[in-house]
Amino acid sequence: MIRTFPLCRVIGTLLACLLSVNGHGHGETPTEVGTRVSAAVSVTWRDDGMLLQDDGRWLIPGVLMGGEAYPVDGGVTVDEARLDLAHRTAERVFGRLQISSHDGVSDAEIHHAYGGLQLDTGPVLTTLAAGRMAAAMTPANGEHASDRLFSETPLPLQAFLGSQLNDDGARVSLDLGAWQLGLESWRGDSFPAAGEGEELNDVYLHYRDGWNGVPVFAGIWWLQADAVNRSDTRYSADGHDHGSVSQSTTLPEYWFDGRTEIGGAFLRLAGGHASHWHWALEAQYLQVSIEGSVRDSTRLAPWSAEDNGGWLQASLGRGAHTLGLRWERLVLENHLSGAAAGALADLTGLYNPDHDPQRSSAVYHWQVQPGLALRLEAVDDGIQMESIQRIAVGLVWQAELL
Amino acid sequence: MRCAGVRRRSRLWTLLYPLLCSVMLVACGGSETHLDDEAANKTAFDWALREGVPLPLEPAANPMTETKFQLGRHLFYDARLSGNGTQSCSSCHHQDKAFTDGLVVSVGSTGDSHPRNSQTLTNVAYNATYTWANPALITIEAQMHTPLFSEQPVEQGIDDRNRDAVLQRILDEPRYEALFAEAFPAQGSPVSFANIIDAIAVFVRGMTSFNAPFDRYQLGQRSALSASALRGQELFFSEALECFHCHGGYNFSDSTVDRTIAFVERPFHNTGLYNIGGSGDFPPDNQGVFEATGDPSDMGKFRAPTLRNIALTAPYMHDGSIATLEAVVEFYAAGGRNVASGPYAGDGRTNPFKDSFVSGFAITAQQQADLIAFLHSLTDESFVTSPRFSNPWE
Ligand code: HEC
Ligand code: HEC
Repeated sequence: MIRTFPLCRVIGTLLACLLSVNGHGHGETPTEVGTRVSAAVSVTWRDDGMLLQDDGRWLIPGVLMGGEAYPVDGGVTVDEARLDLAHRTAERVFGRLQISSHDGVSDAEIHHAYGGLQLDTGPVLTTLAAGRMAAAMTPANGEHASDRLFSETPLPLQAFLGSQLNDDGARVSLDLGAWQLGLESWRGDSFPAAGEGEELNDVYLHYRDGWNGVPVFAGIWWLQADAVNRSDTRYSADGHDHGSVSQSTTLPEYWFDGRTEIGGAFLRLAGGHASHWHWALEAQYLQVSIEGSVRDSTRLAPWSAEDNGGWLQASLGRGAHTLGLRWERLVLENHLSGAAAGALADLTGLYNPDHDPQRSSAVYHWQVQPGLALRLEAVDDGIQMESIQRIAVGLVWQAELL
Repeated sequence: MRCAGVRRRSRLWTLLYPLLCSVMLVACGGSETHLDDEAANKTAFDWALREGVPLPLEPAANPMTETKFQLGRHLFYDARLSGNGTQSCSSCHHQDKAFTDGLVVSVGSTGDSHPRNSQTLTNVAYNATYTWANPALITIEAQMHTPLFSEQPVEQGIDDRNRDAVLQRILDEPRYEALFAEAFPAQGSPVSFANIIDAIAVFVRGMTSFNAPFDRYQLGQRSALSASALRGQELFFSEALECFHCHGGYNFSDSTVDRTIAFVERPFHNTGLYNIGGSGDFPPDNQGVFEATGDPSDMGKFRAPTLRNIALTAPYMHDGSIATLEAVVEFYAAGGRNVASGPYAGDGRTNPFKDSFVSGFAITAQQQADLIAFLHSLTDESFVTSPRFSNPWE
């Protein structure tokens, strides 16, 4: 929570759940001296899950899926459970450890394990951090169900970042006034990179300030990832075991080699007062360019893609009650060539003649107690060519344990 | 897999999208997939394939034409194309048996026994190698020399002494004049063994078979497979039985090439049929790839044949040593074959070169029947009755 500013603290507690501009879920540097331990759990019941392939895989038509992009299932699922420990000394040395499970996957994993140091270098504040972290180019990366207003991970992140970009790496960020410039370099084991020693880097410029009393958080970013032998590990032995895939069917195996470049921009605005009317707006846009090839054990097809996607989110609330809407959409333009183009487009799920995957969601969010929220969601899921509707009822528990 | 279903865009989006798009530049344009096969799927020949099956390779030196196909069909069924005028390709490759001969091992024109069981000609265009176990034989044209000219064993028995006489017999048949002229139009005297081989190869390459109940089911005809065959299909593609590892893909063989394939694999497997004296040996005249390479680890390795039309091609295996499909399933369930006595005695289940996918499994009588029902669903009746592949001399 944002404790440094007493005024913000009040609003912050509530906005935390609405807006996620604060530092709980994602890779933000602990800002207060001392130790803080927090926990969060998000549990949701849905009347139905997403549409899957006959073999049980979840594909977004036109996307080469991977990473940790898991669908939501019908019934009760723990969307996220996490335990977070952050420590910071007066000498501006900090560390953070977070263990979490997310996207309905039952295994917990180390989501954050990093240490760092802040240096007061004249007008610029330099922050160095290294370890396992969620990339910070957009605050949406690494936010999970208990941070967001909506329980489902934004579609563009599912498609282009494999749900989230979380890897071992290092970050240098320079703060000057409202501006922050960040450079991140990753080991390159995570989607959209893959393979030993491959490159995965990003750079971002963030602006965070009040603007006529309205908190503004905006940014642009750019990411580049190289992949060698990248496969869809979601359902394989070394990936998570996600219950919905039947063990008796064999899933197609295929690999991607090539480069992915993503440019992004976002804007988050919020206003009002926690105990009265309050509102928030968010826009995120991602532009993706991919150049490489897909292959299976015997076939290969050069592949390039020019994709884009984004979402818009708006919420309006009074006191503990908030109503929100979110629209998401992907545009996927694929080019495959060579004799195997058709066969591999089918096998990999890249074949999408004219459908723009999209999803519209509405949420009612009620902060029952400071640590407990109830959320009701209605989703019009047009990810596949056939659209489906689902409703969800969820609880979000958040607590400061220390 | 394409997602079926109708496209339904939410109203809300249709209203809001242009607005949002212009204001926020969120997700603009429209999804599309461009597939450019670079003319790889262009063909003048009617291959009679079903949707989802890629075109086979076509050698540049011997392109497919209908006229060569028709000439090849006449030659395939012509016993004049043998040293002593008694045997044609069709003597060992009968259409009603999916072009096998029903014998344990084939018998040549002079009575020589072939060490091997006659192979089906079902979809041979897709084979990565030819015959049971020869990694070096990769075109039908090259393979054709064996039945026509081989001396060990003699098949059609054409040799230097009878070559001219055989050609003369062909020249004497009035129907051939037009057939050769149409098939090889630019040549003065087209009746040659080179052209005979090319024409037969075109005919054999054109023997495609993709109209089994299995295919009709794949194309969406749900009633094409019985409940038993569907259960058998599940078993066939299961990790417990492992069949699909070696008999997978649209042609039910892991030794398959087509135009889409960039990395050609030519796999061979030892399935544990023999283990003479426990040393891994196979019978001396049938040692698989070892005969070609001399590499001890190639002992007993054979190509996994297509299982299309398998119900028509008994007896089974390279030496015809398994009589029925029931016995084949029992053989795999046991994880190999224990030859209890005789010169080939030895426990094939413990053959040191046996493929690890042949590891045995438990199967109930019902499951065995289901699996066999599935194998029967690979029978393409039109292939074995089609006039296109039948004897033109009758
Ligand atoms: C004496 C019987 C006999 C005759 C005659 C004969 N074949 Fe065969 N054919 C066989 C046998 C046995 C095999 C397996 C050979 C081996 O594995 O060494 C075979 C294999 C083949 C194959 C390889 C199939 C595959 O799946 O790799 C083709 C093609 C073929 N024959 C075509 C022909 C043609 C065309 C003719 C006529 C020119 C012909 N055969 C004549 C017995 C015969
Ligand atoms: C390790 C690879 C492998 C596996 C697994 C495998 N096969 Fe085979 N199969 C072969 C090979 C190789 C042959 C030819 C062996 C020979 O002739 O020596 C063959 C031959 C056969 C034949 C006889 C084909 C003919 O034309 O004579 C049938 C039928 C068959 N397999 C069915 C099955 C079934 C059913 C399964 C699963 C229970 C299975 N196979 C699993 C490799 C395999």
